[in-house]
Amino acid sequence: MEPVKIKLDKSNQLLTDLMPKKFNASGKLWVGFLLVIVVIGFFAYIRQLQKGLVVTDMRDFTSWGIYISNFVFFVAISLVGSLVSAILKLTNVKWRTPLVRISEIIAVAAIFFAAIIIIVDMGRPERFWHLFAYGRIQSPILWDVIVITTYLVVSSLLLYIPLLPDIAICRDLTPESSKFKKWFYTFFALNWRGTAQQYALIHKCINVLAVLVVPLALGIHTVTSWLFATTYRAGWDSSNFGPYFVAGAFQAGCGGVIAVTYVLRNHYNLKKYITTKHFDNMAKLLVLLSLVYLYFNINEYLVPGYKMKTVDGEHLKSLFTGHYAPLFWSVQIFGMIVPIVVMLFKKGRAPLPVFIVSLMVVVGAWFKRFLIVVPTLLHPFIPIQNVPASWHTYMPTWEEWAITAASLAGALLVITFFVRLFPIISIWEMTEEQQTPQIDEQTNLYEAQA
Amino acid sequence: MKLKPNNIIRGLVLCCSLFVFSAQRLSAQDSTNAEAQITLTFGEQDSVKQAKAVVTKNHTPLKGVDVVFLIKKSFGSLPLGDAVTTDDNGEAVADFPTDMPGDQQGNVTVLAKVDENDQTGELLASKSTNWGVPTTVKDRFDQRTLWGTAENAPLTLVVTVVSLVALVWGIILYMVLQLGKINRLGKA
Repeated sequence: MEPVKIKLDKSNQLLTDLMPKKFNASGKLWVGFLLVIVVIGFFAYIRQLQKGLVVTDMRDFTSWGIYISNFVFFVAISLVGSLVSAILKLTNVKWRTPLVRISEIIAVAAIFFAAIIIIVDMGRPERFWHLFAYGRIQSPILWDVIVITTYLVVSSLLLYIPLLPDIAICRDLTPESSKFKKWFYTFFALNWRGTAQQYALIHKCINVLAVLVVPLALGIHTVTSWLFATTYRAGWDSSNFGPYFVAGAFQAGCGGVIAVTYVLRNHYNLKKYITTKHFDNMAKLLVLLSLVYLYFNINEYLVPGYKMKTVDGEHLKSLFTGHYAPLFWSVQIFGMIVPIVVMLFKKGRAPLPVFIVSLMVVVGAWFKRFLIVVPTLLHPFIPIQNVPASWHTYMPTWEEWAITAASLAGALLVITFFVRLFPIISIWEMTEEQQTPQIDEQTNLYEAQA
Repeated sequence: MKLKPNNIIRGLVLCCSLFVFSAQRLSAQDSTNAEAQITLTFGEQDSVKQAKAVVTKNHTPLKGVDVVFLIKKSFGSLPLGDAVTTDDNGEAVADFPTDMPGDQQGNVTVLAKVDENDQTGELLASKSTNWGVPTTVKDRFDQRTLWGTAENAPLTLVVTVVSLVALVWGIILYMVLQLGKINRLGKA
């Protein structure tokens, strides 16, 4: 395999456009905003540590609140890494290149905070290691711990290994005067020299990881669905839950990567590399994934709704016409139906409409997880009797909102700092595509560059 | 209100009357039950095990009383067929089934019961026998089950999970070794 030849001078437009840049005023404002949210969340967590989970509104019946909803949301979003970097690669989709690293960092940030939010949900977080030391292998919770840890490691490798040549570029272009930056890039570049053998190894690793990450990604969300489906509860007791969760995760993840891509494209002026064609293609993909998810939703709600058996019926009534109806129908309509309709039209697949629709999908996805977790817990088979009135409902406290918001802000901070440190579009892969003829006739990527 | 001697006397008379009236009623009820009796015995007739109840009143057998035979279970009782009416000797007999589960020693408690009856009121007799089929209780505490302790996980599950984890982490280890190789190639 021929090594990729990258010119490390100003004549290389790719370097000018894609090398990480310092935060401008709006970038600093964004980081400051996220840090404030994180600090408030950290303060709320300190309170939770001091006083215990009593600062939350979780009680005997609603023992899983927005922490677990948020956890399921993060797991869902993380699936995008496998979608773009593996599934689109294995199906030989060429236009994916500028989106791969964005989706991988989203995946790593999301799965990292999914793991953190599980610890937050624990009343005794110092006993976290007990999960590994005393876990029962019969329990889906232990399967989830295993698969999340594994997915985090594999996603990190899938982010890091293709990053090596670009870290080396950063290393080589960092002046000696910036000692810490130089050391940082040198350390993580692993003596990358860009030899043919090194490139061959990188390609081999990417191919192996791309194959490995697909079953892992399916596994992580299927096992997460089993946390619910292996219990005998209204709304969870469903053999449909695995594919239903996976379909929802792909939809949410696809929405997430489109939203982040739009912001990065505009902020760093990457329109040459992330074209309208990319948004058009991703929108089509999102429509497909939304249709699949809609199909699973119909199965998940219509079939039990036709039967309306006892507690299932009460649970569904609370969703269809009861307490949760406004949220339920908002999520179904604005998080699924409207996006599908909008993106069926060509004008709806332009960058801005797709961005807005993707945000709707992501926000809808978060609240959908809330609707999966909480209403079921409030509809146990044995009626809730002789308990304080507040136990009949669940309304997250400010501490829960603050900690949840902090975890979301934390994930965005990870992405933000990553973009500050590393090229968000792979320079070496873009160079490789430029050096390889016949690439991307379908997307006209390089017409724009010419 | 002041307590007058007349009122006190009236009150005492009323209390005494109530006491005497209640005592008379109680003794009337007791006399019915004390006179009627049911006894339960076990025997065999032509190799068929039988429970026999004898109903008497004032030591005289009572004819035409319906007796229900039951087996006591953990929750409630299991009827042994329909009610049996006592004969001239005051006897009601029920065949004992050969497949009735008992405890680990085969013990069962048989009840003979007379429900509301004008002559006897309610009567009940119970007696244990070892005619039941001994029940073997499977103690699964130390067996490999899904609901067992961590050490008692089903082997198939352990093998499946360990194999999958070893396979995936083996590949991850291989990837890390490749990173080491990339590093060494750069040094060279």
